[in-house]
Amino acid sequence: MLEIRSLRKRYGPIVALRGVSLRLEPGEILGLIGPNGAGKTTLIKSVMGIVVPDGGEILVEGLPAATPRGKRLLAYSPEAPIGPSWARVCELLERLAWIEGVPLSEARRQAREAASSLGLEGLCDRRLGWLSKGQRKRVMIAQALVPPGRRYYLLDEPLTGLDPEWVARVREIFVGLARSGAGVLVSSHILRELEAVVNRVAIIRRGQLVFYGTLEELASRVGQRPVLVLRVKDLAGARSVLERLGYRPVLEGGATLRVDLESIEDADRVLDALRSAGVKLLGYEVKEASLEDAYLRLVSGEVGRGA
Amino acid sequence: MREAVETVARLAVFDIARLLRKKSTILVILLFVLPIATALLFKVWGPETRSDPELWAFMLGVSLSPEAGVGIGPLTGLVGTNLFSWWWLIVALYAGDVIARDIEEGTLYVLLSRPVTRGQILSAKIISTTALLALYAIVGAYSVYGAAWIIAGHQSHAWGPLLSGVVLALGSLPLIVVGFLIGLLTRKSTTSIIIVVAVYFIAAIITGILGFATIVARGGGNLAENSLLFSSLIPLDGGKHLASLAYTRLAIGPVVRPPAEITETISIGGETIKLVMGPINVGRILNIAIASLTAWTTALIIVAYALFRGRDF
Repeated sequence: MLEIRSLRKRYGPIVALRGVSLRLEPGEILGLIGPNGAGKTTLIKSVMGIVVPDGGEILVEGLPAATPRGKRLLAYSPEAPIGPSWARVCELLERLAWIEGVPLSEARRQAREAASSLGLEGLCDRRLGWLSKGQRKRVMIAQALVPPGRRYYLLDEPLTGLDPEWVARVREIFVGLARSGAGVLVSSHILRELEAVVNRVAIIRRGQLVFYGTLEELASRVGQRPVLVLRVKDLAGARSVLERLGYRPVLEGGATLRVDLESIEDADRVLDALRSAGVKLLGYEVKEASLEDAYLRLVSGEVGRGA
Repeated sequence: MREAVETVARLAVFDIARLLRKKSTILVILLFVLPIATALLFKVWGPETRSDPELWAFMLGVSLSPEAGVGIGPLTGLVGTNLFSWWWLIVALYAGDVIARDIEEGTLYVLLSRPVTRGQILSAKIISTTALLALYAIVGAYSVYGAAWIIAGHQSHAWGPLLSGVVLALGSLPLIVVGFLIGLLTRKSTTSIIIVVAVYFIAAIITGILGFATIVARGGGNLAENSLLFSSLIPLDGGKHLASLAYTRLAIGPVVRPPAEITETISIGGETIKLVMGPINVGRILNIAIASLTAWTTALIIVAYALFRGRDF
């Protein structure tokens, strides 16, 4: 088990993590969800020893995580499409396995296999500096797969920057890792991306764990109230009418507002009020709240924290 | 323990692959080729030369060199095309980039996520840069010997470049660690290289001022010996003085005497200063230089490790 206890981290005046505790079990996929700047990357980097925490404890199978013995059980894929621009794709994968003591011939085989699972076999001899961001991102995921057989995988926003085909294929990869018995922690700022595959989610907001449990528990905690999605011309006018009615509209793009309702019947009342105030509606939709809505409600602070 | 050492070695090999692919390698190769090319041009279009031990000795010996400590022939030295004329720049290009580019490109994230310690990464970085600089110095020196061979014919085998290359690289250690420290702080390769160059020149200026100020304070002294002594106390010159001292100690002896002792009197602010160009106790200064280099390198590595250990990336 990978266990994080009361993890704290501060960057100067900014508190990145405020005593976060969570566990990653073998064979499970844990979604680490939170808006940008919530502390997801800091948490993952702290586990890997890339960031030095101010307090708390991180143990993997009872060993301190940020030690060579601990890190032999961990694999990490960074959020940004980074990597040494001078290295060729397979050369990098091969050398990283070799650094850990894998004989060169075996490291070569492992590198080819990892490259192939990420569709990089045709780019094996290409330098990272010549790859697109999406391709580099895949290289970073591939390097987490060499050497294979780690116990826990920490993938920081692995789906960001990938095209839809690769989003699906990378998702299959981490589902496969979990099936083989590894614990997989995947971070994202979009719950929808992971909804179909995670066993549990940990939601953090401003460095604090606001929810930790299954998706069913998330739905029941937040409550799945209906949502009215409005497209209006006059955003300020619409907002003012909605606030007068006691709602807290959330801007969801150029001309779109999201309003959480108590019941479906409230939709008519809201629409009538908007129309009579002269707000021109470009379109609207009343829908059942999704888990994404529940998550948004949670991170916007509408619902009290709990884990 | 063995596993830890092996990991350092593997990390160093990984880093050497990076260093060899730096753009600066093109400059280094150019500086390997230019002395030979210049000598060939001289041979084809210059005055006729023949196998000549004196010319060989002149090309290598005369300028074996208080400046660089290795054989810089006057021919190649004249046109500034050999590696040692640009040694300060080469050291800065590699020292300034010890860690900065890895931070810039994110390679460090990938390395830190592997089962290695920060101490191992630091050790590997220093070893790889030092080893590569040693290799460059050796090849660079032999390219100068090659130029001499083309002009004056082969006269004797020279082991000096091997020794001088190693000493030059070891002498570069403090500047390499300074480069690591600056890279940690700036996280930008170009900025780091520029600051290392600045450190090199500022150290040279401070050394010169301190050397002369001591002589003025004492009312006189041996100018060359004093200058060498202070250069040894602040070893941030990429190993030039250390290599020069080591070569002189081995080739000439513990004391170097000028053909004639020269004394000159100058007046500064009403004070009379007696400058002497006399014998230089190279053996004593070399010992001081080695002690100073060891102390500086150790202290800088301790500071670099302390800073690296607590740093977030």
